[in-house]
Parts: sequence; C-alpha cells; structure tokens
Amino acid sequence: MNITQLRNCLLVLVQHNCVQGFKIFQEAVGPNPPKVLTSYLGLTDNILHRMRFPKFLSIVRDELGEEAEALLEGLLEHGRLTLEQVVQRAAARAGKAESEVELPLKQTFAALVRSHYIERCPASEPTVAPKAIEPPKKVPRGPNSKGRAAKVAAIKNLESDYDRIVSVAAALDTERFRMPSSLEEVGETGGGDVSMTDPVVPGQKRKRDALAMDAKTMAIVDEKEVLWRANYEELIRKLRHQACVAQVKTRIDAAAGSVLAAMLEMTRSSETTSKPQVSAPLSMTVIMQAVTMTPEGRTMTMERIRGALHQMAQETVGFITRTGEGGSSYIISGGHRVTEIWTGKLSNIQALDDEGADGTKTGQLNVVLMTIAGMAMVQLKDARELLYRLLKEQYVVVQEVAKTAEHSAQKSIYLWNINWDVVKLLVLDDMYHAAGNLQQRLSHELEQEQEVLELLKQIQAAKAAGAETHVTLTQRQHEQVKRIRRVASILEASLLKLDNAILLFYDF
Amino acid sequence: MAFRGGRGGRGRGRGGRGFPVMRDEDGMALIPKSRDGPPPLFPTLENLPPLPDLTPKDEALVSRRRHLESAWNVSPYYIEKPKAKSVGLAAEIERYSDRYKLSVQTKRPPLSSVLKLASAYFPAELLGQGNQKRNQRADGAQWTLQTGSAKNDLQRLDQLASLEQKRMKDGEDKEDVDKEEKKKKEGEEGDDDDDEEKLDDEDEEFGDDDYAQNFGFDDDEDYLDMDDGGDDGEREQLTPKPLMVPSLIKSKAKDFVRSASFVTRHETGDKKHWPLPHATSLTQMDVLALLKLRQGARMPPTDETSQECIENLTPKEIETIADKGLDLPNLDLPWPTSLLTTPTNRLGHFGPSSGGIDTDHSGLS
Repeated sequence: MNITQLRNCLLVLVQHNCVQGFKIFQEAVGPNPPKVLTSYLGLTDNILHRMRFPKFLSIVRDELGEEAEALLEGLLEHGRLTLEQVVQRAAARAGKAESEVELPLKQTFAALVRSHYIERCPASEPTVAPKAIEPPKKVPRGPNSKGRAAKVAAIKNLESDYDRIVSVAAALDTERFRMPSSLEEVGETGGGDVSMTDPVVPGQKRKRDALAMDAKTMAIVDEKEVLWRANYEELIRKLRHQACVAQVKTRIDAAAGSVLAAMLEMTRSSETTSKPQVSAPLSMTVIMQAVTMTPEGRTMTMERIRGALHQMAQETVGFITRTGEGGSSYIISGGHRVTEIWTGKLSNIQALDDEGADGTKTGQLNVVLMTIAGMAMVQLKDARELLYRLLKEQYVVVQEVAKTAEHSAQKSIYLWNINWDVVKLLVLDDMYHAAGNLQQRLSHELEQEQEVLELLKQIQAAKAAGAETHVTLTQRQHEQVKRIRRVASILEASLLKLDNAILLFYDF
Repeated sequence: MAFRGGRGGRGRGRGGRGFPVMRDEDGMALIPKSRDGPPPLFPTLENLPPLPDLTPKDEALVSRRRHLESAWNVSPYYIEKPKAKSVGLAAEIERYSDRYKLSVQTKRPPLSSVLKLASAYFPAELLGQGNQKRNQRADGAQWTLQTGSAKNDLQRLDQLASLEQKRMKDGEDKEDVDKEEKKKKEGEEGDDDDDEEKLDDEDEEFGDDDYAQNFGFDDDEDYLDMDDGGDDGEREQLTPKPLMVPSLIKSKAKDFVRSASFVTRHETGDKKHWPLPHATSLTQMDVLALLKLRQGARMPPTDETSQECIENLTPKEIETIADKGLDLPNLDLPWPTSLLTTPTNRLGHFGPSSGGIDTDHSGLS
C-alpha cells in the first residue's frame, strides 16, 4: 500500500469516526530535538456500533418521524456532515431547491440536537500527555484460568488508555449539544426567525452592534464549518432502556413496563455515564405526571401506578429501590437489572445443561460435587462429567482443599465456583466469533452467486432507465435468485438478533 | 512365480496390518476418512436449530442495512485495492470479461468532494501537500450516487458501443496488417517484459564500452515520421480496448518513463553526455500535462479518457510533440519505439530479442 492510499484510508476512517488522531509531545532526547508525533487510535466501540445502524434508524423513526430518520441516515452514511451539507443532500435527493427544504429540515435538525441524538464532532487532533500512553502489553495466552485472569487485567489496562484518549478528545456536554445559533429559535415556536439571534443583554447598544457581526459570523461558521455526527451513546442508552422495559414486562406485567419506561424517560437527561448503575431519584408525583403523559399510562389510575412501583421495588426483584425520606423516592438500579437479564441468558446456554441452571444459584458460594449433584438432581457420575466439561471450557473453576499434607486426590475436598466476569467474557468472545462467522458465510454465499447477481443488476439497471434488455433469467437462475434472497435475509436478520445479545453483554 | 508374488503380497499385507490403530473413548477404531481435495469451508452440521421466522420489523431492519451498504459501495469512501494485475504482462492481455464489466471505479467522485480537508477536521499530516481544493460538483451529484448509478452505467455502455463501431469502421481496410501487428505485439510483449526484468539486473553491469557510447544514437532520420504514421494506423486498427482508467494510464506512463530514464541514469552515473536525439528530461508530468492540454483544447465529453486523446491526435500534433522532444506514449508497448533502434538491438541484453521485434521500422507501419 503506498502512502497516498494509506492517507486516504485514514481520512475515510477519521471521517467515519472509526479512528481518533492525537498528538504526543516527545521531549528532546540527547541531540534529537523535541517533536510532536501524531498517533491514531482505533475506536473499537464505534466500529462495532456500525452493525447497529439499522436499529438506530428505527429508534429515531419511532420517536421523531421519517424526516429525522432520513437526516440521521445521511449522517450515518457519510460519518460527519456540516449543517450546510445536510441541507444540500436533502435538496439533491428530493430534487428541490435548497430554500424549499431548508426550514423543515432545520426544524428536524433542532429536534435531533435537543434529543441528543446528534452531537458536534470532537477535536481532530488533541494533545495527550506522553506518560499516559504505554505500548499495549502482550496478553499472555494460556489454557489455565490464571491466563484468563491476566488477560482480563490486560484488557482493563488497555481500556483505561482508550478511555483517556477518548475523554481528552471529547468536549463538554454543553458544547457537544450546543444548538447552532441560527437554529436557536427554530422548532420551539414552529418556524420562528431563522436568521441570527441577538445574544447580547439589551441596553448596550454599541456593543450589541459590534457583537452582532460576531453573531452573524458565528451563525455562518455554525452552518458551514461545524461538523455533526450521530451520538452513539444516546442511541445505545435508548436501546438499553428498551431492553429493561421488555424484561420488566415479561417478569411482571405491561403496566409495570409502562411505568418503568416513563421513569427512564425522565431520568434519561440526567444520565452522565454510558453505563449508570443507579439513576437519579424520582418522587412519586413526578412519576405520576410522567406516566400520565405517555399514551399507555394515560388510562392508569394512581393506585395502579403505586401497585406497579411496589411490585418492582420488592427486594427479591430489585428493579427499583425506595429511598429518600419515608421511602418517597425511587431509584432504578440499573446494574442489578442488567445482571438479572444476562444471568438469565447464561442459564439458558446449552453447554451448561441442567447443572448450569442450578449452578447460577450456587455461583456465589464454593460448593462440593455432592451438593451440586443434589441440587441439579443428576447422578453423581453425570455431574462429574458435566463439571469436567465446564472446567475444560473454563466456565467453572475448581479449588482444592487438602485434608492432609500429602495432597492426595482421595483425601482432598474440591470446591467448585463460577467466576462471572470470566464467564461473561467467554460468552462475549463466542458471540463475536459467531458474528464474524455469520458475516463470512454471508459474503461466501453472495460470492457463489455472483454471476446471477450481475445479470440481475443488468436487468434492474435496464428497467430503471426504461430501456429494453435482451438479458433474461432461466428457470434455474430464478430459483437461484430466490434462494440467495432468502439466505441473505436470514443471515442478516440472525446477525441483528445476535447483536441484541452482544449489546446486553457489553454495552448495557 | 505366482507363488513368490503371493508370498510378497501376503508379507506386505502383514506389514500393513501391524500399524497401531487409533481408538476413541468407546473403543471403536477411528479410521480417517479419505478426502478428495481440501476440507469443506462450511461443513454440514447435524442437529441444527430451526430457521428463524422473519417478522416485518426484521425485514425493515434488513432493508435499511442493505440500503446503507449499497450507498457505501458506490460512495467515494470505498477505496479500491490496486489490482496486482495493473502492471506488467497481465495488464496487456485483454480480457473479454473486463470489457463489459460494469465498473463503478471510473464513476466514483474524489474524496475531496465530500470531505472538508482542513486542519480543523483532520490531523495535519493526513492533508498531504497543502490543502486540496474541494472539487464539489455543482449539481450535487455526490449526494445522489446511489440512485443515479444505473443510469450512468448504461450511458457508459452506450458510449463504449459507439466507440467500438467507429474503430471497426476505420479498421476495415487494414485487417491483414492488423493481424501481423498483433502477432508481433505479442512477441514483443513477451520479450520486452523479459528485457524489463533484465534491465534492473544489468543496469549496473553496463559499462564504458562502444555500445554504451553509441546507445541511443539514431541515424534514421525518417524514423519518427514513419513510426508515427505507422503507429497512427496501428492504433486505429487495433481491436477496441477497454477504456483505460487514469491509474492504469499513469502506471503505463511510469513504465515508459522508467525505460526512458534508463538512459539518464547512465548519463549521470558516467558523467557523459550522449548525443541523444530526444530530450532526456522526459517526465511523466510532461506527458500528462500535454494530454491535459489536449483535453482542454477539445472540450471532450465527460467519458473521454486519455487513451482516446492519444488515439485521436492529428499528425500535426504528433509532430509538435516530437519537436518538443517528447515521445508519444504508446500504451500498447512497454518499450518506447524510439529506443527500439538498430544500435539498441546490437547491445542485445536489454533490447528485444531477435525473434521478437523487427528492427526494420517498416514492420511497425
């Protein structure tokens, strides 16, 4: 690959938010002068989010409508765009003049910014302190559990550097979601003054005039120079809330689900981290108001809402916790809720068999073989075989407690335990492999049918142009086209469903 | 005799039966299955779960995914890997499948049309030599690539067909010469590529002998006229080629320049000034600049490429090029014809072999 191609590849990756450049200042060493090095970090989270773009589009469509979906599609397609480019794109696709589409488009844009679904792009080349960056340590590979634990620790080290660089590049939330000055009055009043607004305190006429030019320049800069992109954090948060509400609906009932949905909507704006463990507290009155505003909760009575809250707050369930004076407020315990979901998922994994379903209950304790066999209601011999299989796959760990100094196998007690972090990583690893296999299989199938697809493209192209074509498909080719369409749909849908599980284990 | 054969066979059998047999946990013998060819990429699995049913929501998600993927495939962001067969012998061979292949490569707008190449948005070192000017198309076509791709491909096919018809008409009178030239061309290419490979190896071996001093001396005054006339006819008679993409033309120009600069290397190394009839300051930029001039003067249609510009040059323009000391880039041959003169052939080790090119220029006309 030559240098020009490499540059183009990096430009495209930065444009699509897959790579973040950063500067490291290297101090002078000996005769060498101090220099500034530019390095690049692959943003693995953003790269994996590309699998979920269809889900992001459907979220925005359900909440804000088709125009918002089309706008977001443009941002996802091109990675980053200015407001001016967004308007041009919409005008070109609609076949209309820019002035015609500008106003409704800017209203939609403002709605997306207010919902935090789009944000201003971070700095292209922030400076990072050199000591913070260490070369990635070689991850030790080994079949034993010690190797696994070391791998987990190494991954956490890498993550801390990654987070540091990303946080240096990111701006404050106030800046990220600052509305372009030309749109500050758009949308709220339904088509107000689109031209520049006057931010100066009234009474200072001279300064106002001087600053009016700055405001105008700022408006132009905001439209033409500021790049906007989709805010993956907010979209993932929305998906997380949807998963929690679905879990509550299955565990309790639909009414409780509606109440939780309303509570999550109220606390969404106050969530500062990407994976909060607890939400802000909400009082009873606020919850009532929020629920009655939703279409599902409008018909719910106060007693019904109170009952749903009481059910969710029960200790055995633990979805929400009562807090505050006299237990008047409720906190959604996000961490526990998510753990419940994926613990339930883990217990369904085929490899764990019957033993696993009961093993989850005993996961907090070290147990002996007899106890496990008793709880799982399997033969001792079968329990031993299953445990050895699980040990081989590293889902469980064994600890030897020797009765005598000689450490003979017959006189030692073996305690079995599950390390949830390791198991979670194992399952996540398997799922990533599965997703990779799905992608490979899809590309393999499409490659096999390349000839027929080319013919189909020709026919479609001819039809689109209105010209006659002499290319036709035989019966066998028709069958092939039907088959490949069905196969491709199944593989792509399976990938999207697998992605739900990946989200649960990693992003939620 | 049969007895001996039988005994031998039995002995061999006994020897074969003596090898240890692998057994699995249950005691059954494991016999490795003999495979014809490599193992299957996706072996069939037993006990597969049932196929999932697709809901309308799933269908909607899948269609959105396909829409995005097709948009990315035709966008300027799709950076194509340069084919390994873009230089050398393989590129010279016309492939029937390449001729009518619907290729998006030539239609892809440049990255600068969608990227804001400024230091505020990208790290400075990626911006290269100065900020590239944005070549944003006035009609906003870079936003509608996906919807218009079918139409563009068809237009391209129509233009290809019309160009072929034009070439076939002009070449009707010279069919016999065309066949001869083709045969020689194949021979030339085979020899020239070998010679190109030898060129780098023997570069250092070239010393201060008489051959070196006489290298490039062209005592054939009429060479250029005959050659150009011959080349004109040759180009028109050749069977229609696929339109060459700019990257291919540049790689060809590089080959051409490399072969021309062979002379300059020796000149600077030995500090000799060889009496070369053509300027040794030939560069790729000169050739391409001239082609651009040509394009600008004629205001060609959007799909016209440098290949057509070369082929449609009038004799007067060719003369002008020759006067400036530039040789016409003959994109069919890796070697410029100006170097294929008798003194060159005498040298032998980097000229084409005797069986290949006819050094008498009448062969090229």
